[in-house]
Amino acid sequence: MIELIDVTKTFNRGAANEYRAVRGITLELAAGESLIIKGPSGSGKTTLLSMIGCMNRPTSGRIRLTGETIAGLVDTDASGFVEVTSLPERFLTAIRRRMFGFVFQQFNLIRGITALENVMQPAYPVGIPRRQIQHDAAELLASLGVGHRQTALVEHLSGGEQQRVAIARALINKPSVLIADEPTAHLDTVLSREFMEIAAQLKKMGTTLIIASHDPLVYESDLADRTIVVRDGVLVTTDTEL
Amino acid sequence: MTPALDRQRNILDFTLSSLLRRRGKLLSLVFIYSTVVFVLASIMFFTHALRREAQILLADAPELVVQRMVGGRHDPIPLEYAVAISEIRGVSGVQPRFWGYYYDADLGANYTLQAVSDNSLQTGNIAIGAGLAQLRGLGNGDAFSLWGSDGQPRTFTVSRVFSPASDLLTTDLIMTTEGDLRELFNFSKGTATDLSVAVRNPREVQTVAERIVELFPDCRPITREDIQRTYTAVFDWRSGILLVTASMAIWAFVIFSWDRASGISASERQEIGILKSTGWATEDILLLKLWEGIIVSLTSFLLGLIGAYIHIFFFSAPLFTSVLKGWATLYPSFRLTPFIDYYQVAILFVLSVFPFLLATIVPSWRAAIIDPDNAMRGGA
Amino acid sequence: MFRPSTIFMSLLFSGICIVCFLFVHAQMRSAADLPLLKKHARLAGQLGLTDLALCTEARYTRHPSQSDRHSAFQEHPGALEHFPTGAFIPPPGKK
Repeated sequence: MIELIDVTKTFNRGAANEYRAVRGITLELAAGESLIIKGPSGSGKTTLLSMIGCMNRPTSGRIRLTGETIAGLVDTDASGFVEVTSLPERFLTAIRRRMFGFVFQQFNLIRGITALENVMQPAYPVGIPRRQIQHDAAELLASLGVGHRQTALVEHLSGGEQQRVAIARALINKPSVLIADEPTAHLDTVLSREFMEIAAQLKKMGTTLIIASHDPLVYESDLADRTIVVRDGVLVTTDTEL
Repeated sequence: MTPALDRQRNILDFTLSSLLRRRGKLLSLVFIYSTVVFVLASIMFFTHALRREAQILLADAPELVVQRMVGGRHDPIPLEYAVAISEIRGVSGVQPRFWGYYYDADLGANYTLQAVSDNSLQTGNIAIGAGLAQLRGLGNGDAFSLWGSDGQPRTFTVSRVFSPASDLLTTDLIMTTEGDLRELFNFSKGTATDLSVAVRNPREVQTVAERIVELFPDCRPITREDIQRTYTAVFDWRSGILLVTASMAIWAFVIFSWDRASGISASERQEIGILKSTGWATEDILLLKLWEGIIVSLTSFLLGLIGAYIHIFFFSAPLFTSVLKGWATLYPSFRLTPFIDYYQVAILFVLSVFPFLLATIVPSWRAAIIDPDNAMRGGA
Repeated sequence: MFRPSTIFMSLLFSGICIVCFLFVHAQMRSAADLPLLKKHARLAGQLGLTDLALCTEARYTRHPSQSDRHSAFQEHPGALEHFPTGAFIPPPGKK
C-alpha cells in the first residue's frame, strides 16, 4: 500500500547549513501492517513520517501509494499505484486528509475550543453535514473512554485525555493509515500502556499503523509486525518478528 | 445540502467559534471599525442631506444680488445704481434690500435684521425666528427692544414668529419694515444694503451680471448660481469623498497594523499549521480567513451605517452640532430630511469592507502556504 | 441548539433588512418632507434670503454666499476668518 524507493530529503539545499535528514530509504508497507520506526532523536524519523504522510515532498526518490481511498481521488497507473512525489498540492492535501490520520508528539490540539470541536475540526472541509461529524466525533471520544469530557476545553484535560482527543481527531476522517510520532513521549508508563492498548485495538480493526518511537515500551511490544531502525537518515536494520 | 454548502457552513461555524475564543479582541475590533464607519457615514449622510436641503431651500433666492464694494469691503449701494441697472436689457425688476446684523450683548448672540420688501409688516412690528423667540422668551404680541445706532432703545412688537420647522432659514432673523430698519441703523438716505435684481430669462443672468460690472466697476454681482455653488462647495461630494478615502486609508492602516501586531501571532500561525496538518488545504484556510474578514467587516459596516442613520436623521446629528455650532449662541434646531446618495453608500461600502478583507487574507496567505509538517515538529 | 452559522446568518440578514428598511424610510420621509421644504423655499424667496442660518457665530460667517473676498487676516481671499466655520466652508468657488 505504501512504497518508498530510494527516498532522500535535504533541507537548506545548496546553503552552508545543508542538512540531509533522510538518505536513500527504500521501504514497503502492506495494508493492515504495523510498522515501528526506531531511532534516536534527530535520526530523520519525523521527516520520514511526514513524507509518507504527504506533508512534505522528498528531494529525490519516489513514494507510491495505493488503496481504495486513493483510487477515487486521483488517476492511478495500471497497477493501481499513484506516484505522490509529483502530485500538485491540492491532491496531496486530499490524499492526506482521506488516507492518513496523525498523532503528534505534542498532541497539537487547538486551545480554547472544546474536545469535541477539536475532534470535529479535520472533517469540516470535507463537506459532510455537521450533524454527522458531531455524531462521529462523539462516538469516537466515547469509544476512547473520554466521552464524558466532550464539552471540556482541551487545556483543561489531563495529558492522557489530551492524547485520546488527539487520537480521536486523527480518526475522524476514517483514515486507513494512522501515523504517530513519539506518541508516548509525554506520557507516564500507565498512560503509555493505555496508548498501546488503543493502538492494538486499531490494528485489530484493520488500520495500518506507522509509529516512530524510541520508547522501549513501544518498540518492544508485540504490536509491531515489523520494526526498522533509522540512524542518521539511513535504514540500519529491518527485523521481522512475525 | 450539497457538500460544497456543507463545507462553507462547517468552516463558517469553525470561524465563529475561533473568533469567539478571542472575544475581547473581536469586540474591540468591531467597536473601532464600526465607529470609523459610523463617523464617515454620519459625515456623508449629514453633508449630503444638508446640501440637498440648501439646494431646495435656496431655489427661490434672488437671481442676482448686487453689492457695492468700497476699499474692498461691502458698502451701502446708492439707489441711483438701481435705476441704471433696471434699464439694462433683460432685467425685469430691481429691489433694494436692507439688512444688517445686530449683536445682542446680553446674550452674546448675533441676529440678522432684514427689511421686508412688501407691506406684510406694519411699522413697529417685527417677525422673528423661532430660535430667537425661544432664546429671548418671546411670543406673539410681546415687546422687544433693540438699541439703535444713536444709543437709544426702540421697542417693537412681535407680530409673527416663524415656524420652528423653518429654523434652518430663519432662526436668528428679525424682519422689520424698511422704515424701521433705516431708522434703527441710521442708514443714509438714498442708499440700500444691496440690490436684488430679477432677470426675465434665466439664461441671461450671466450677461446681465457682466453688464452691471461694466456699468459699475465697484459692484460685485452674486448670482443665484453662486449662492447655490457656495453650498455645494460647502458640502461638496468630492471633499466628502476625499475625507472618506483619506480617513479610510488611515484607519484601514490603523486597524490593519493593530490587528497584525496582535493578530497573526505565533499561536495563530501554529493553529494554521495544525489545521493544515490535520488535512486542511490552503484554500480551506483562506476560506476561514475570508469568513473571518466578512464577519468582522460586514458586521461593523452594518452597525456603523445603521448607527449613523439613526444619529443623523432620528436624532439630528447631536455629535456634529457641537462642532458646527462653534461659539454660536443661537443655533437652528433642524430636523434633516433623509436625502441619501446611494452611490456614496456603495463607495463607503467598497472603501471600508475591501481593504479590511485584503488585510485579513493577505498575511494569512503566507502562513497558509507553510508546509504542514511544521506542525509535526512541535508547532510552527 | 442553533448552529453558530445559523445565528450569524440570521443576524446578518436582519442587519441588511434594517438597512433596507432605513432606505425605504428615507425615501418615504424625503417625499413627505418635500412640500414643506418647497413652502420654506417660497418663504425664503419672499423674504429675499440668500443663506442658511447654519453659521450664526459671527456676522461675517452668517451669509457665506454674500461674504466679500478682501477682508484682512485670511488664509485665502474669501476664506471665512472664523473657527469652526472657516474650517468647514471653503472660499466661494471661482466662476
